[in-house]
Amino acid sequence: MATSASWDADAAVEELYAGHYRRLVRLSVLLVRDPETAEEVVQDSFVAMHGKWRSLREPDKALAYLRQTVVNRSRSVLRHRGVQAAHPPPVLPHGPGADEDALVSERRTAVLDAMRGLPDRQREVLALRYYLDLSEAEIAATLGISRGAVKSHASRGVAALRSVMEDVR
Amino acid sequence: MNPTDHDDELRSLLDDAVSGVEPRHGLATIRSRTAAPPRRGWAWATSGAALAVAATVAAVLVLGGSPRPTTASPGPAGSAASASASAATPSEVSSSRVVVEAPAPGAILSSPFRVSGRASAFEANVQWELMAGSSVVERGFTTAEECCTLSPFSFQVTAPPGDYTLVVHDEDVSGGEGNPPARHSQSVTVR
Repeated sequence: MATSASWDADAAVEELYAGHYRRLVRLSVLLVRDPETAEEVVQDSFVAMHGKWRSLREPDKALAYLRQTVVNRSRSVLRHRGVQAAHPPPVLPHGPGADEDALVSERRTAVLDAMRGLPDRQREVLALRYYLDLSEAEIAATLGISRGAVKSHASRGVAALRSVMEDVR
Repeated sequence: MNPTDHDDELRSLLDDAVSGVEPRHGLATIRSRTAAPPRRGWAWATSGAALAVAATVAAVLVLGGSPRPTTASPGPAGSAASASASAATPSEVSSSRVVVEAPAPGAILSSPFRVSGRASAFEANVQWELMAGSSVVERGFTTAEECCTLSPFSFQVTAPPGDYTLVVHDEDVSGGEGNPPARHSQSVTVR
C-alpha cells in the first residue's frame, strides 16, 4: 500500500476502522454473543492498536494485532462475565421482513447459543476459520497455538456445532 | 456431503448469525480515547497508552532501589511520572514473568546486540525500551512463542555507544485494575 508509510496512528485507526470495524464487531459477537459487549471489545482493541502503532507501523501487522486483541479480549470478557452465561442476553436485532423473521431469528439465536456453548478455543478457531476465512497458519499465529492444535480444535468444534445445529433444521 | 460443502454451510451459518449486527458510532469513541495531549516530545505523543507506559517506566526507575518492584502500580499517569523527579540510578529489577537470559546485567556489548529470554505475557506481546536516563532511545516489541506461559522470545537492539537501561515488559491491558505489568530492567553498555 503506497500510503501506508505515511500513516500515523490516527490515520491508521481511521483506515482500519473504515475497512474492518464492522467485521471485527461481528467476529466478537460470534465469540461473546452480546453486540454491545462486542463493540466495547473492538473499540478497546482499536485504542490498544493506536497505542502500539509505533511498533506496528504496517496496516497488515496492525490488522493482525487487532484480530488477536479482539479474540483475546473477547475471551477475557467471557471469563469476567461468566456468571451471565446462564442468562443469555436478548436475541439480536434482525433485518426487516415479517413471516420469515421468526425462523431466521431462531436460527441465528441457535447458532450463537451453540457457539457460546463451545470451549473457548473451539469457538475461536471456528470463528476465525469460517467467519474471517483465515488459514490454519494465520489462526495458529492469532491464537498462539500450534497448527496441529488448530486442526483438532476445528474438528471437535465443527462436530459439536453440527450436532447442535441438527436440531434446528 | 464432502468437506467443502460442510465448510460452505458453516460459513453461511456463521455469516448469517451476525449479519443483523450493525455497530454504531464507534469511531467517535475511539477518537476521543486516542486523542493525543499537546505534544512535548515523540515519546509522549502517541496516546494515553504511551503515557501509561512512560509513567510505568518512570515508576520502575523510582523503585530502582526498592525490594518490591513487582508491586509497582502504574497508577494515574501523571502522579507516577511526576514522582520520578528524585529517581535514583537505575538498577536491576526483575519479575518472574519476564526473564532476560542474555545479555547479563551490566554487560558491555557491541551494537547490534540480541536480547533473549522468556516471558509470560498477555497476548504473548513483549515490549521493550532502551533508555538513556529517562529518555527512550529505542523501543520495539516482539512476540513470545506462546501466550500466557513462560515462553521464549528474542529481539535485536541497535544503539549508538552509551550506557543504557534496558526495560522489557508486557503490557498492562487492565488499565491499572489488575496485576501490574511484568517487567525486567537492567543496565547495558554499548561501546
